[in-house]
Amino acid sequence: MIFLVVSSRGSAVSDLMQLFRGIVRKNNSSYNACAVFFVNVKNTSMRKILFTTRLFLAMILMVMLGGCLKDSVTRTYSIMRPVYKSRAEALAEIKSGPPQPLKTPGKIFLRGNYLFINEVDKGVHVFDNSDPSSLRGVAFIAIPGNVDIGLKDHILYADMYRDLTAVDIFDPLQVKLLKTVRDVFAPRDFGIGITDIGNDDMIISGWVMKDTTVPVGAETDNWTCPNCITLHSDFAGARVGSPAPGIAGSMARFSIVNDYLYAIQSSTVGVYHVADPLNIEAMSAPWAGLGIETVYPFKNKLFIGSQTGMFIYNLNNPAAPQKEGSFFHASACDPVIADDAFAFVTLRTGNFCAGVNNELNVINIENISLPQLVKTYPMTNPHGLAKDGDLLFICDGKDGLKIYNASNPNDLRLIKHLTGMEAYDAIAWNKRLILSATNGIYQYDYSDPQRIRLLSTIAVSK
Amino acid sequence: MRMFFAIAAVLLALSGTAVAQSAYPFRSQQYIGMLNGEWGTAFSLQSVNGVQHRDWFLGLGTGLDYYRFRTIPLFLSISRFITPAQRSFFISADGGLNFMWPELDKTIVYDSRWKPGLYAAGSVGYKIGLKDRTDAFLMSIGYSAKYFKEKRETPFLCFDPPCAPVTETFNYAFNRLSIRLGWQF
Repeated sequence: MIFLVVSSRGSAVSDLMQLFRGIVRKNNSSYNACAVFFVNVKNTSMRKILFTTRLFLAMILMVMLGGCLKDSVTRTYSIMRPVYKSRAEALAEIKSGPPQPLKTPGKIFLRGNYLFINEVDKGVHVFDNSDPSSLRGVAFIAIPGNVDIGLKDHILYADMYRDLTAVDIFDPLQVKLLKTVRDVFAPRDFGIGITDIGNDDMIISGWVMKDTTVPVGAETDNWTCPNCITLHSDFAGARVGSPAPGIAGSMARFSIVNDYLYAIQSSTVGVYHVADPLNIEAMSAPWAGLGIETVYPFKNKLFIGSQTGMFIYNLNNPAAPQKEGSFFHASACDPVIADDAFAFVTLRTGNFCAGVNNELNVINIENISLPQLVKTYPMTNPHGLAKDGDLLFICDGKDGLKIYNASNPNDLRLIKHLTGMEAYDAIAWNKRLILSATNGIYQYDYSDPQRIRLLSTIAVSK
Repeated sequence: MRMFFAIAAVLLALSGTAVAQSAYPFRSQQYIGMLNGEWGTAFSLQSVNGVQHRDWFLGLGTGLDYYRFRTIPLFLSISRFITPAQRSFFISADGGLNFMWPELDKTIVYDSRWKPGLYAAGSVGYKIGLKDRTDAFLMSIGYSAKYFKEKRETPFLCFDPPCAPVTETFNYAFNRLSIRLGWQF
């Protein structure tokens, strides 16, 4: 930037030169940005012109000096920092304790008269659901890094970050860690350069949040925060294949069918023989594709939800599932459930979920090798889903819970729409619906779907 | 914006009271201006309406400020004319609040909540009055600052916790030189 200073008085010019030299000595950036030229006009005939133009020159000078003014923009954001503890210490702490308040509900799992609720990254709450209108906390099993749960007999299978743990919960108040299998699940990437890979002797036991303020340039529109890319796996329940032992939601990363546990890994489905929890064996790991997210068992089939489609595996040989069919859709996150004739897939958008679709796809799977799209229904931001007979329950995020009559998949009819909660996943069983939402766990009686009745809630503790 | 209208209503009521008195004739100043700072040059419009008492002018001003973000300043303005002559230098100082008037951009995925911030300006100017009339041409140069905060919340579902709340707070402080040309009646 160039400035021109014109004056008829030599003393004024001299003073100004001294002044500007002082400024540029103090601020080198100003020196780089501004070059000032001084012109001493001694011709008295110019004075009248200078008198009338001085104001305009001053205005121009001031506007040009505007480039020397600095704007200030700061950004304050929160970052999470991990707290580590030794693996041995963490394993020693896997035991039951008194009931804890529900803070970040995750997966839900119904087994007999007990309801298991994952406390994200902390462990598992055990509730006595003998009286659905009055849930009673029984115990809390501390398992760091836990987001998925499943049950077989009295063995709780739970992930601990990448590892699979088998915990005997025969007596929920005296649980025992039976076995740990390393590296069953895909590593978790928390973004900002933090993963659970690295020092195998240490695991993340907690997090601390810290506010950070940094100066940024005036151009901030396209900035995205580092925490926005930390999203990875999905929220909510696992479903055990055998109907009697337990039932869970639709968005699981692992599932137990009879004596086998099927775990979603980075791009493969890890198969583990869990007949003997003390001797868990890795059997196979068939390739399923990139972006696989959920696994849902139905009869002797596994339905794998991925960001690009749905894959169907048969379990004729449960130790080595074989792909039988696939259905591709637009890129999105997509839990899936199925019955004998149809699969129901919800597609949703979100920071981690690519794509632009928020919808329910109904897919005819009567010919397993060639699934056919029957119809697409627009949704708001659908997540988990559940089905009981002709009733289809869709957790539509902030739009709450939608209950459809699905007797005709070509023409789903909305029976009831419950709002006021951000619904993620549901279990529908024996006319009772257990709904996982951000603000708590809801339990409904849907004997009469038109008059669905709230039985109990477990509110999230702030 | 509710705060903007509330403050505007109160100040307009106060100025209306003053206008009713003949010793305080109503004056209106309309400015078109240019703001220059690190970000670049932007356009501004201002309307200051108030009363004059001797060499003093006190008014309530508002307008449009397009520097970096479109904002609406709402401020009290006080000016002192150096001489009572038709042609006179004057100094003025403005102080008030900035209100964001966000421009719609459907490509932005986050929600922004804007908190009004300080608006302050000081300038020197020159008035060229028309003979036997209160109308005058005004020009001024000076410094103008606008501050405000933005709280951005990016909606997302936390699937791989822990997830820090995707909330960011931006503090904006813009320092500009201003040049204004105006008309007073």
